[in-house]
Amino acid sequence: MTRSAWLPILLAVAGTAYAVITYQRVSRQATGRDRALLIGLRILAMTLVLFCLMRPALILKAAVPQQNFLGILVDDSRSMQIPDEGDKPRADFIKKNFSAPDSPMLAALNKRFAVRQFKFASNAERVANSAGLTFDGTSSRLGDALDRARDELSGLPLSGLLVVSDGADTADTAFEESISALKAQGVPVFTIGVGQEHLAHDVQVSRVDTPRRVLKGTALVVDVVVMQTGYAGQKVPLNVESDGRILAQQDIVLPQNGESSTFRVQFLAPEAGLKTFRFRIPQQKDEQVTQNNQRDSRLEVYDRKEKILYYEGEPRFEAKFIRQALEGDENVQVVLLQRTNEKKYLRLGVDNADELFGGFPTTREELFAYRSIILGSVPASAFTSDQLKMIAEFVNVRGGGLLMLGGRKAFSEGGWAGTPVGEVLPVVLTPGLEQAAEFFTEMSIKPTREGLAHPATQISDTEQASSDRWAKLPQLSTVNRISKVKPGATILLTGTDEGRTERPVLSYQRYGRGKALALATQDAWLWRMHATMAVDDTTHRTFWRRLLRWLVDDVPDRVELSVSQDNVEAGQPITFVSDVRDKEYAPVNDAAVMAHVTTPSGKVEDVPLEWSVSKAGEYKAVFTPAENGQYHVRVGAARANVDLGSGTANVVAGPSVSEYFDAGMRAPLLRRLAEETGGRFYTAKDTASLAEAISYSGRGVTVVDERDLWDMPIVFLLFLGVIGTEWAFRRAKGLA
Amino acid sequence: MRTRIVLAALLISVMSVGALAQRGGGGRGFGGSGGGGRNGQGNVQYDPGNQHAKYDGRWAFVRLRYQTGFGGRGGPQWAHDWPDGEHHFMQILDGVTNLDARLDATQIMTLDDPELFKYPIAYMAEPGYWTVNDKEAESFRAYLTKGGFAIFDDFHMQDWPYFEQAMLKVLPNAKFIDLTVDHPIYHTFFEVESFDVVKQYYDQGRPIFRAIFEDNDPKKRMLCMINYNTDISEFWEWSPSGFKPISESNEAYQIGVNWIIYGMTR
Repeated sequence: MTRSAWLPILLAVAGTAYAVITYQRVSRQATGRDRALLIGLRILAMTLVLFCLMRPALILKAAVPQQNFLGILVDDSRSMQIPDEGDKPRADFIKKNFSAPDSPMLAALNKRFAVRQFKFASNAERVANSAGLTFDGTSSRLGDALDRARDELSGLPLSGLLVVSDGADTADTAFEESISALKAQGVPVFTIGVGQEHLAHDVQVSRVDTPRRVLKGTALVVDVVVMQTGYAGQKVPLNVESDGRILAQQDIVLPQNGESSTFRVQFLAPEAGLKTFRFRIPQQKDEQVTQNNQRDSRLEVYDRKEKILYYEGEPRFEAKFIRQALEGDENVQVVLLQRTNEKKYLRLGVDNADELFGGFPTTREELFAYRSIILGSVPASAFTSDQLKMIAEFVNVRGGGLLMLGGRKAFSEGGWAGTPVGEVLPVVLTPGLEQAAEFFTEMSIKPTREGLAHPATQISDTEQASSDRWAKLPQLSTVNRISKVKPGATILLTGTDEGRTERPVLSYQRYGRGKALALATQDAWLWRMHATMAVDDTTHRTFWRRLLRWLVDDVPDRVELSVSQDNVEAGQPITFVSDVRDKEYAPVNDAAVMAHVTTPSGKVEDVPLEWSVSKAGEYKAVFTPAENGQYHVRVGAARANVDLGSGTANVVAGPSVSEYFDAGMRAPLLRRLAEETGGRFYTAKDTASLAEAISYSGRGVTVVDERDLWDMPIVFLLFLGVIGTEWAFRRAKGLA
Repeated sequence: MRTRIVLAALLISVMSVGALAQRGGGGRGFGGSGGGGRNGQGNVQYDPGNQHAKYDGRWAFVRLRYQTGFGGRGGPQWAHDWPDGEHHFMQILDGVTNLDARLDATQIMTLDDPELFKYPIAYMAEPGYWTVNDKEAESFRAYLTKGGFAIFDDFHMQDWPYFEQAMLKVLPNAKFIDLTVDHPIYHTFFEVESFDVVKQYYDQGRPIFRAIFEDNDPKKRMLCMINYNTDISEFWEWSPSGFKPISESNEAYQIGVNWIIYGMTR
């Protein structure tokens, strides 16, 4: 301990001892509590004297006026036009405060700093002032803007950066690196948040989850996330539109203020091609932002025939009626291989005389050419062990869909427990039931919550209509003792049997790259034939078409192509990722993979993809669209001059509307930026101390500003107050 | 070839079962079929009524019952060849295919029976005597339109107008199209190369095979198989008797098996 520290301690101890001793000897009339209070007041008075004797001072580093630079980054993006700053656009705050040298805030800052202004949206650039800002930038890339300002002002005495924005950063990358660089250079960032954190009246279609591509004629069931403020509980229409036509309309009830709700809408993908589907809620009364009432989703509707191998172990009506349901479907081809006796097959729907001539495929190449497999009432013993393994790999490795139908030779009763295929199935199988007494029960079938709005089992346009339709369908029967599904499996349909036991009827699980389904019934054809079903009822057809389309949905090709973003602004780089497999779907690492990019102006650019090394069969390349419009990308792969296949993807480059989503001022982001760099966050209404705060940030060229604390009037007043209180108390107690 | 050998062996076993049954002075068809006794000559003595075995998901042979007077052989015309015809046929069907059909019961149903819809293949004998009321016509129309497949068998040359009249009441726009041997129904399980193999049991002239198709388009689904001027099930019924050569009964069984496999898949 230093010598200078001992002195005040010694004095404090002496003073305390003096106070205690003084009041120990005071009249016995005083209680212990009175004495303690008096001792405390005396100590406090002596402490104040001691504080003044020590002559304490506050030393500040203040920026030297006009010796330091201040970078001001002003948001020039479209979201600044949102009228939520006292019913005026956010941009008005900037126009008022930063557009001319005599604007109030700019003038205050100009007094202290050499100001350099930047405007930022997609890019950042230097401007003299904010007078020429148009506020029509289609994105806000705050991180890039901070980097640009820091670079440009590096080497100069910089007091800090000031960001004036609503915080709507639309860059797809976090700006942690920008913050780290600012911290490393000791540049504090002060932020002014413009706009309201929560808009008073707004409906927003926040997110739409659609697949990247879909088979023509498929009924899509799409999750649409809607958020709102100011319209809680109101019923509004949610439309799905394409090419100017309304494909579906559904009334939805808006959630509570600030909360999100997910709605499922169903619509058909009727025509092939790259289609834009718009999910739109009409503009509501007094809405502040209308641009976020819709979301566009682009998906490729492809037109080809997906082949499903249906292996039925015995002649039965399920095969006939599945074929009937798919009749006329131009996109799903069911190839029936029906075992009519132990060594005889009936083949229907084959493409040529050789197809399946020898029965069920014996090679992976032959089996993996199909997109999905249906196994009917056929025992596991009808297959070789390699065929069983192949079927499991069909799901796991090839990524195909497998559907097992109920029947006397299916599931546990068909000896599938303990086989590789049994592992893949979503239901729990029981060994040893092959020879068990026959089981039969009829079941009333209904969809689960998940099944009501699932693409495979939503059999009407809306959930309610689907639910009503399910309730009217006749009972089906099962001969399979299925009572449980595996962990991770999803039940879409359940049945209540004659003993009132609930049984899983239709369930599925993802397995490896593919999916496996189990339909426990043996006579879904009764949904067509039953006496109660009208001749023109299409439920059976709808059910099978949807189920089988979902079965083949998303089944990968040998060469797949995806892009990191399918909707970008020109100049924004994207990554092509291709997955390349051979005929047995084993990953290929030594292929020559080339992307042929057709630009909006019709030019074709070749972009080679390189093996990513980190993942087998994965190839990557970076591409930057230079012009606005649609880019078609076709990637081809070959090995040793043998074609492995091709995949396609589409990218659209153009102005983004992301500025208008989550359009409230993002205070947390601006606050974090300020706090992590040593600056401070302000709202537009509270900027009075901003200029002084920047001055005292301690950065740039500073002078030491010493302010005595001991001669502040408050200290003297406090001393008088303590002495006066002590005297008044003693008087009151008769001690004076 | 192997299937033919199996079929012949089965045929012989059916013959021995049938012969035993005849020695016993009649006897019932098989469990659950119940009803009509036989006089040992294959003639039904009285109306066996409707017969329903509880549906268990498997297909059972369904004989269609219609309103008519008694036929010339002591029973209603719809019951001709019952029950031995289907009994013998189902044994053969079970033996040569792996169809899991009911052997313990056959069904007898009227054309407007709601249970009929659970059995999408049905058989009618002596359709020349068939009369159909409006309710039956409507229900049977729905049955055929939704996916049902009907086989008409055992009717004579002079009976066509009566059948045609009844059938047009069910399907007013139906066209009766003569089949050729290259139609898939003759190649679904057994290969039937020529209609010459199908002999007459007792009538004159050649059998005529006709069909009604969905939308009257022969490329589409067959709704009705009409065996005109012949009686295929007669071969089934009497195959154990030895009245006809085994080869002829063999062809009749082959044609019948093909009907069922076709009706199960198309």
